[in-house]
Amino acid sequence: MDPIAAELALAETAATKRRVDGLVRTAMAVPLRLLALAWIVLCPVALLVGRNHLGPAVGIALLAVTALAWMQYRRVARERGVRARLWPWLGVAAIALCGGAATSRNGTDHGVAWLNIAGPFVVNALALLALAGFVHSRAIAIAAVTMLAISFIVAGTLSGNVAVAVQFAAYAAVLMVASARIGR
Amino acid sequence: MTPHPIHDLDDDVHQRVRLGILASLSGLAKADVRHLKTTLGVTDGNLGRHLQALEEAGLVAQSKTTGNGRPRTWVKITAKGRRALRDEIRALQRLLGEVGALSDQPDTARELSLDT
Repeated sequence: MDPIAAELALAETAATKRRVDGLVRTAMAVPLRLLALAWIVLCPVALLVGRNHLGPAVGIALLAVTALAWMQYRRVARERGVRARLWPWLGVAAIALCGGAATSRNGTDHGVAWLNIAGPFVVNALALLALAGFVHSRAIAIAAVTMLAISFIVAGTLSGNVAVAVQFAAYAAVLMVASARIGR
Repeated sequence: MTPHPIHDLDDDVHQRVRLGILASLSGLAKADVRHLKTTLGVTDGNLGRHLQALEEAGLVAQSKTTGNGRPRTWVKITAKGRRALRDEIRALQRLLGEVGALSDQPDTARELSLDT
């Protein structure tokens, strides 16, 4: 086979994959933007019901985000003829819910306050870091690392429900910026 | 003696349009035929022939829907198709590696070394 033809085939495939990766990242902005909105809503909820009773609210929020993202993906598929995969988001949601609940519970059971306060947020940030690797997004990776830094600072300086509410607000702001960048 | 990497190229995949179809579908749940036609810049007939060949090889799956009274044909890549695309890219990279051509295109090599 002619090496030039092989090189051309590879270059064309790389260019096509670059376009598809761009589409996948843009699609991922939908659930991430909705998640940021959910975190904003959860911010006052954390102050009202307390950090140890947030499980159902977080579950409902993630379910709502998933349903809305699914509807949006269907709409885009109807209009543009391209349907993105929802399962990377489902992975993030499942890890966030199960891992978050487990770390929070562990923190309470063993009397480790920082694990109870920052643990679920750290799990969320790590799930987003994995997602960043999967969709090849630097913006999501930077957001996830920023979130980790926020949690370490909050866990060292604040306590109680306020610490949880502050993390919700800060995480929402960081994620809003990241989803705006990848959704362009 | 190691067989020449040209023997690793898959006849079902090793064609410009077919490689383009698989690469276009690789990160998506599905895409409709019109999207593929626009992305790849091919005619209906040409695309149809290649899709049929890929479907017969089990590399893509087609389905038809009628939304808003408009029939649409959706195409999605199968697990076998993902593997075939990955193997084809590796074979091309090996082939180019042997003639030393890939060293001139580090970006292309890096992008395609990611999951397909």
